[in-house]
Amino acid sequence: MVFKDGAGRWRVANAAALQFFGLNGHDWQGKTNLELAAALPHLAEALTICDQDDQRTWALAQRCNFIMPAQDGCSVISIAKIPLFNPDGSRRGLAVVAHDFADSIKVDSSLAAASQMLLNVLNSMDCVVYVVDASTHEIIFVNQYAECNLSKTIKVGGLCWEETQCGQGAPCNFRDEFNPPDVNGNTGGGHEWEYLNPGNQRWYRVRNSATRWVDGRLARLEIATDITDKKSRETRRWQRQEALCHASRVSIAGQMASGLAHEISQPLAAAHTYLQGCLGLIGSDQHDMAKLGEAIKFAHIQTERAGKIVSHLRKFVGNGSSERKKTDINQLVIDTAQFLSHEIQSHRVDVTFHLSDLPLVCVNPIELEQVFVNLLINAIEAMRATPVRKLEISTRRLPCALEVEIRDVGTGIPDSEIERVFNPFISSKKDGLGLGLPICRSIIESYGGKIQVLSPPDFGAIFSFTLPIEDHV
Amino acid sequence: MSDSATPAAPSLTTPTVFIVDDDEAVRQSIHWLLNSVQIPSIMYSSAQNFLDHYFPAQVGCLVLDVRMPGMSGLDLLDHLHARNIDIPVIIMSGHGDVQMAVRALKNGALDFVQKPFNNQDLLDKIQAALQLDRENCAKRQVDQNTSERLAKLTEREREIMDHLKLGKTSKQIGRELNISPRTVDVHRTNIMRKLNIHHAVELNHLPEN
Repeated sequence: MVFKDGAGRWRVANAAALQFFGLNGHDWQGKTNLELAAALPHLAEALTICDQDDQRTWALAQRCNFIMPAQDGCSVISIAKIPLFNPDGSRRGLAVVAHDFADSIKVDSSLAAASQMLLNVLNSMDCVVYVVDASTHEIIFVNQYAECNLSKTIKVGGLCWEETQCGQGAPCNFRDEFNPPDVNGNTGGGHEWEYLNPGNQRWYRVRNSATRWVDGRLARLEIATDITDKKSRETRRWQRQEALCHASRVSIAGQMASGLAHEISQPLAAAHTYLQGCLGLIGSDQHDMAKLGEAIKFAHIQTERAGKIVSHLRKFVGNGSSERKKTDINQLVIDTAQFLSHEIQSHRVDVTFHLSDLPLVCVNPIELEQVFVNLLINAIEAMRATPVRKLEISTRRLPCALEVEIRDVGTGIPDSEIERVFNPFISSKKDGLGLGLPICRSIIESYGGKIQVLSPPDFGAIFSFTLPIEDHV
Repeated sequence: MSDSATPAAPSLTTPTVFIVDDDEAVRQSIHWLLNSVQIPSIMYSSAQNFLDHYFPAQVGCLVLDVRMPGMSGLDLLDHLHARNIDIPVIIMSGHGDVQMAVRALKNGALDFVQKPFNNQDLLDKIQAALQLDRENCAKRQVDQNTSERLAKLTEREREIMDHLKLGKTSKQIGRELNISPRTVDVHRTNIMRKLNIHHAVELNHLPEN
């Protein structure tokens, strides 16, 4: 290693350099290449070449590599000369670094070997891997799995989005979350998403992260794993759950059948009376149009009332849509209590509501209604034998969620059983299947909420559940 | 239509139908029906509500739903029975409530209709019930009068009345009570005047005290 100043004078030289130039024992400090050449004729040729190289480096004003045989004739040396400039543009100095060319070959080849190993690894992976230049978005590598398994091959050299997406004209917008590797080469984390490939109709989990490619440039590494089978298992599991929920709703409706029949027959009886009365009025020459109109109007209101009960029942029991929509939970609570009004009245339960302002939440109203119906029916059952039957239904807003609470003053749940209350097939009813509460739990958890029960001594039970709310609502 | 929450003060002598059903639509429809044939009616949403507002002296009849939360139709019949209220009751039962209807009849209800009922059938039964209550009222009136009159008799007069009821002559009664037959005659005249009867034989038609 040598350092020469802006005028070309030797200022610093380490032992290896002195050895190499054969300058050991000679006075070299502060001398230029040519001065040294004049002083040491046996080194003149080498020093002259050295000086030419220096001038070339200055002229190009950038780092230059030179290769020359060593003095000892045993090795070839690779020399890097780096020109340094002052802020005003004048020469400050020349740094010279030399090492055995064989070593650099070794480094290069070990780099090459490492690169090859990386490529081997990427090619052996059982998933789609491709690498994209981070600035030009050109595909620079596609692994074997991708070449064999994608119906539309990704061409090296093509633009990333043209090769891998359909009809997209620009890079994907997640590139804003692109974290380049730090100085130590560690990446800042990747971005993941699920993607249905329209070409082969298979689902992939894709991960995109930053990396330094084997040729040193900043690149994006994309790894796509086929999750089609996992997804179809998930779909089947979800379908079974839906079927179970539906069966449970049908069963509940069966329990409510006689109550609902009563609820429907009352308005129909009233409508019957009005309409018969109308026929009587018409038949009796008493053409009081006002009375007739009044009776028909009332009869109509009653048929609508009966119709609403029927359609509510239909929706509840139907196999219908599993669409989520923006729902007012307070209104749903009130409507459900209305749906169960016969149960509530015939068991002489006193229901009070404490409802707070709640934002709309995106839920499937039928699923939520199923949860309410289950909890309310359980509460009413629990209070069968108690003299005073009170039910309190409250809703409240929490920081990132809403909470619904149903309190009864029934027999309560003993400590020994409270842990298992949400387990399937545990039922305190003699002909119960024990599926109502587990289904409630799976519904609430599918929304990311939690359901729990407390049963303080001598109090009854308090069932409550939460549903998360998005912050920006 | 009048609201059952604040019923109009009933007129004691106008025969009125009292409608008791927990379903508002059913109450209103019966009220409308009775209104269309000019029969006054008052609606009550519960048996308790009816008991709180009813005066036993009112003429009328009760149309009662047998299946209600809180105090049921049967419970109300028991209450009425316990208080000696004999207002005629027509039970309304739902489909499949025949058992309850039979029990109600055994507990003193006059008649029943099944929902949804035939309007004319209900009206006929209501008319029969109102007629029955009118007759009961008249009879109560008569009984009331008689009790008042009997109370006016002196102890001696009562004693002699008992003997007269047995068909004894003044002479026989005089001998038994050790008074003259003329005194017996005077007592007899007074008794008959006080009780407002014209022949001694009517004594036997008076209700027992």
